[in-house]
Amino acid sequence: MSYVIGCDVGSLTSKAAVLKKRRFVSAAIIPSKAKPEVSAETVIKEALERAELSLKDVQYCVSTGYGREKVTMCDKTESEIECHARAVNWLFPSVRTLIDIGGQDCKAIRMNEQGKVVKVHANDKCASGTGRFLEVMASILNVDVSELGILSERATKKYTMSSVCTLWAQAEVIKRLNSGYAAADIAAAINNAMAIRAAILLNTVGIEEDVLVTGGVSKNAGVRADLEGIIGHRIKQSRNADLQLAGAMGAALIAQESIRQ
Amino acid sequence: MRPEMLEYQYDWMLFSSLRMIRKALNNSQKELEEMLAYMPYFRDSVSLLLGHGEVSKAFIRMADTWTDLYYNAEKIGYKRVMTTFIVNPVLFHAMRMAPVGCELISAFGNFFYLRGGFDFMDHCIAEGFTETSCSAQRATLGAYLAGLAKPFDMVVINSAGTCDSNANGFAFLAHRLQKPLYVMDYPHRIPGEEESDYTLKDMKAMIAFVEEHSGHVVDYERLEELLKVVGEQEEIIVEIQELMRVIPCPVPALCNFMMYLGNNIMIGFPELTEVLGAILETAKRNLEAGRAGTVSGEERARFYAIYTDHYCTKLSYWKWIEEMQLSHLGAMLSPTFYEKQPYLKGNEKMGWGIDTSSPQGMIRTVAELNARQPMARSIRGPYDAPNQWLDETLTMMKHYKADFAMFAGTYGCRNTWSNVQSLAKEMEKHGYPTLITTADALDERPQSWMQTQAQIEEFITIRGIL
Repeated sequence: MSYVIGCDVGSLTSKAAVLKKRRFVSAAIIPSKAKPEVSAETVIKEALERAELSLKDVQYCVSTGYGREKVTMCDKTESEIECHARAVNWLFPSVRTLIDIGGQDCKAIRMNEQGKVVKVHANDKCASGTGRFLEVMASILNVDVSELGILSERATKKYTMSSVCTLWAQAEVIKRLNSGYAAADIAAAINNAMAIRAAILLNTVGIEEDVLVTGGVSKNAGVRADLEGIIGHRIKQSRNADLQLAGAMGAALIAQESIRQ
Repeated sequence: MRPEMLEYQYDWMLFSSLRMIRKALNNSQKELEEMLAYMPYFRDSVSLLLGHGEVSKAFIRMADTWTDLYYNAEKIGYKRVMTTFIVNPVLFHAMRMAPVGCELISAFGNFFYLRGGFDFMDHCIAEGFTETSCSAQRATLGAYLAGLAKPFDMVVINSAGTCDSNANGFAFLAHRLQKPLYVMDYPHRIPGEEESDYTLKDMKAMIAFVEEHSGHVVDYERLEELLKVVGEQEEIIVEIQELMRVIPCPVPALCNFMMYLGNNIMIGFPELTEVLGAILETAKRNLEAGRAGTVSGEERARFYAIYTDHYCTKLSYWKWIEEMQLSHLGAMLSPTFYEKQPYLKGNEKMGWGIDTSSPQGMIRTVAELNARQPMARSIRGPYDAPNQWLDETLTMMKHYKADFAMFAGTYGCRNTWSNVQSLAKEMEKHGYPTLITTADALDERPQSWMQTQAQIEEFITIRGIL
């Protein structure tokens, strides 16, 4: 019973991280299902199975994400902002500014030296600047969203594309494809549009180094590179941690602290 | 903001770009082409601007004089006043105040920067301005908020009620930079004696404000000189705009842009007279040759822009008009309502004339002129003159024999978005196909020019205009 679990039920993916004495022992990421409670049960089960554990081994569970209130087995819910900040402070104490680019929202967060959140700004433009934006564009290009970054590395031309409305951007991608534009160039423009939105949010909270990107989009090298260019700061990269799991990891860390208290 | 954007002052970039182009005006064609190779970012804009012979040369000289005036204001004893295109700047020039035309500078940013004014627009949002406000101010505001332009001394606008989004943008800027702000007001309608007196009083109050905050007083001799030139310019504009009624229209589309832009930045200056004279000569030559003002000399259709035009990067909109062999009959920014304009027939009281007989007469002239600026005269909401925009548009459509009308604006423009659908329905009832584009005239990120172009082409094809 010395394990704790953090569960992040997002709009696109659900994540779970299992922690024991400040060491992560397993994690899982699954596409979110129609019902948040089913997503939570499935991802938690998968994470536990990977560590050859079962629910009876879990002492405490903290849930986060848009579906956090629906996680039946959780002992406590926590905001995504707090969870991301907690995980990032634990992983990289030098980080002061982070941007969590999730499936349906995007949040820039500034923290102090103690990892306390001092300023937050979220996107206010429907799906633009979110993972959903990339997912929609990737589907038109007929590639998996995870391939957008790699694809954009082969771009030879740069152009600015719609970055405010996902539907209009979608129409533009179709138009460009039909006009014979290279998929790699379009992918690069999509990543750039994403980076522009993220940069506005980061500049709004004020950038202080080190800077980190969390959420699923953290895996997109194209967005990261463009974002670095726009904000003029290097973005810290993680060699070991999967930053898509940041929300779940933060929830697990909070779960462990809750036991101690 | 991108670090490289912080390397150069925004106003200096515009000034030095235009100065460089001006210096190259007397170069041979080959030399110009070689020069363009060194302008990867704004080659398209420059080559289009230079593509109209003497008109282009006069326009570049005028634009250069304008940027020189506001960039180097202190060198000639001027101070700077941040203002909107809805304010006519002629009085400022008589007070040694260099008008910093916010929206016009934003448009020039789009023409001369790699990504247009987008980086500055985004900076403006990051500073706390709302993204859903007007994009026309946002680039310039962003540059000033980033400290990338020489400081101005005060803000003078007249857009409250006419365009609250515009007014809020300037109020935001004035507040953030702690500059004095004056907002001129307008009566319910024009014309009318009571309304005219109201406008005159307000103009006098504005003068008192500028005097208080700058120490500069009105030089009435200079104002008289300026207004006399304004009169000459208006006479030429009447002539040019009358030629636009001819089918095919002999006035090139881009000349309309140069004309209304010039009338907003350099009214009363000989540089604008040169531009107008060159446009008139070009139009007369085309008329004699039976040519349209398009590149091919053919006219396939005629349209009137019922609000603004589209000011996207690379001047792509204007290039497209020329390539499509469309005649541009002006925008809401074009009509001046000068008393000799033939479209005033039956509505003569709406016109204004020039009175230089006394200081009072001159100030009244400026007040009347201001009350007839774009938007101030036509878009002040439905509460006082419900058909002002419609009446004006129908008059222009009929006068210029337009085949269709097109609306382009910005999402921040509540006053037009709130009723443009009703306007379009009325226009259709009068037999004028009317397209409401979903583009933002100064920000291509909501909808790219490529998409906007497709939208317009689809409309004119489906409606059987082409």
